[in-house]
Amino acid sequence: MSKVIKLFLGYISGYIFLALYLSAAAHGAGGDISGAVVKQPLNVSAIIMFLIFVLATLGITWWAASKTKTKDDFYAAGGGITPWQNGTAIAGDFMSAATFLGITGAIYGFGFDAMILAVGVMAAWPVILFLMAERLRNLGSYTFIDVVSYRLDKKPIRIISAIGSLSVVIFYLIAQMVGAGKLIQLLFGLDYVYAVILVSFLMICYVSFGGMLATTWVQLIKAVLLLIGGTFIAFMVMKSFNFNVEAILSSAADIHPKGVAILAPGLWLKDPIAIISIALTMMFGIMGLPHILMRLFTVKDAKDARKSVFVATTLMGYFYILIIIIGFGAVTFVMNNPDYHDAAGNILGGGNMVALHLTQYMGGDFMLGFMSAVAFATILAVVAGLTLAGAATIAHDLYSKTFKKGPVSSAEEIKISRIATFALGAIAVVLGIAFEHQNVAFVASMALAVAASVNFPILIMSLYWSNMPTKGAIAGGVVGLILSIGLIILGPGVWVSVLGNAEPIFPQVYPTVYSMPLAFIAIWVFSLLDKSPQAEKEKALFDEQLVRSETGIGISGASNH
Amino acid sequence: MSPTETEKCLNHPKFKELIRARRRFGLVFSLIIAVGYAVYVLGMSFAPGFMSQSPGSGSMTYGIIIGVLVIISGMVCSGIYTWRANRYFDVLNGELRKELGHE
Repeated sequence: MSKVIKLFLGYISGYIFLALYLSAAAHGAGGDISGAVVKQPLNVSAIIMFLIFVLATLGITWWAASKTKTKDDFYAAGGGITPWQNGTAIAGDFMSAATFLGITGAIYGFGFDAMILAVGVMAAWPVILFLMAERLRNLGSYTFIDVVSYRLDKKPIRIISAIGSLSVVIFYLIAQMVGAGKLIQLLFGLDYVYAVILVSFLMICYVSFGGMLATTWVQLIKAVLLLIGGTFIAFMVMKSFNFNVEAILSSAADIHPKGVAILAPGLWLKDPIAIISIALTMMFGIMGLPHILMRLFTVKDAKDARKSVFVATTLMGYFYILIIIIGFGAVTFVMNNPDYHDAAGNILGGGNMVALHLTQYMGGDFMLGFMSAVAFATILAVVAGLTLAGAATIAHDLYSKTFKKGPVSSAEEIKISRIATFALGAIAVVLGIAFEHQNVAFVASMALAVAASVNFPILIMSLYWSNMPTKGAIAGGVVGLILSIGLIILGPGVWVSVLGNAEPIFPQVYPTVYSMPLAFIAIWVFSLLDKSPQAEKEKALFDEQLVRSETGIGISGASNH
Repeated sequence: MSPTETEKCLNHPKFKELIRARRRFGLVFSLIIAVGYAVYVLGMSFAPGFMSQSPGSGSMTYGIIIGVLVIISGMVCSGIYTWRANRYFDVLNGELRKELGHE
């Protein structure tokens, strides 16, 4: 334990040094820290509730650290999470700030079109349950990369999947960090740089000391708080309309400047290709998110993995229905309310603040403080999960299974994971500051597009197509990776918004409609072309993989790791 | 696991039944979700006129109804799958494992 304390202190002092250095650098560069977002006056009740949350989660981290001894504990909480806990934590990963604040704001602005962000998630999860969850749990130990490398040539397939996995983690981290910085600036009146450093610092504490156990509990507590808050707001909206859903919609259509058009398609997504591409990105991107798939390994067996996904799907579906009520309800109570607009008629804090304005309207300053603290907690919980997935990929898939010759002890792997966690935390701060003034929407779309075009095709084909050898998987991964990232760079998100060109070379924001099918075609073509003896051997191993994935026979030990 | 054990399991009638039943169940349910989602997405893309109509005299549109139905059917289908897997597939798998000498 004293070793852990020494490590803890070492990290903290190193971290404070880095934080001071970065903030000095940011000030020295004459950077306009507060940016376009107007800082809010200090919100005392929000800060008190947030401090309570931080203290409670640090306490949990302390407890989790004493239980985290082996790499099995670190990556997968020793397989000891119950399905209810795990399902709530998985749902928590989706009930993010982007969901609660972003989708509410998008429904408030665009109405019906924004619902696709919720419907897409709910189309993905049942399919994960029916086709993937149990088989993944039976085949892997810590990451989805364990599963794809089960019968293939371990090194190359781990490297390409790790590139896909880490790209997703880093893109997502950037989006979360920039969102966190702006949100905290808005909610608590804290400088952007300090906000980003604070998030990164807490996330490193949770992950490096408490591992998956702390990461799960942080996510679990936050998910419960967010469900309570969301239920309260949606209930108050319903009550204001005497529980008549029609009345919420017609009132919204009366007040919204676009009128009944908000109840119909067309305000946000204009052409069919754009709609289909975002639909594919949502559904299949989710099936390839490494930090989500990793949670399937924290329960004791395939049966519990199945139950966790059921719990998660149910909670998410419930929460998305709340969000739809809150989004349309907000139009009535926020849109014409001078309390929430500045003199020029712009909404205070921008579109993402709609959910919190409605919270204030329905529950007063106390409820606003509560939900602000929960929104911050949400970011912490999601970045912790992302960082843990990234650290597991670096330490387990790359260091231990690919580059290091000879066996790696559990202690050594945890050490590497901690170093990776610290490095990811530092990268998140640097990129968070670098991207402060960029529109980060494209970064989040990049994460899902890469997941849908690289991770998902390799994973689903390795589970179901016996004829895929390593070369086919690698070809699919490379094609998916180059196309998804390349087309995003040539698209409106980067080519126009970031690089300042007049016209995008590739017209769509989401490349998935091209990159995902082409990744599958590459897998198919290169698999058929590969007639080498190595490929025959890998194909022959499919039978054993099939038996293990369907029955669990062949897994040793009680915790199956 | 040795190749002979794998072979033995693959040819076991209960393994065949498990695979067949679970795959069919999983595929049918995935298809239900996929079709519902496709109706929603393709309706948005190619039939916005229909999606903006209301079945009654109120303001609830077909688009919103279909979207919410996809969300609810996701929850319901997950529940049915889990219920059946707990009661049927797990029992079958347990018998199979016992007969093959695992546990």
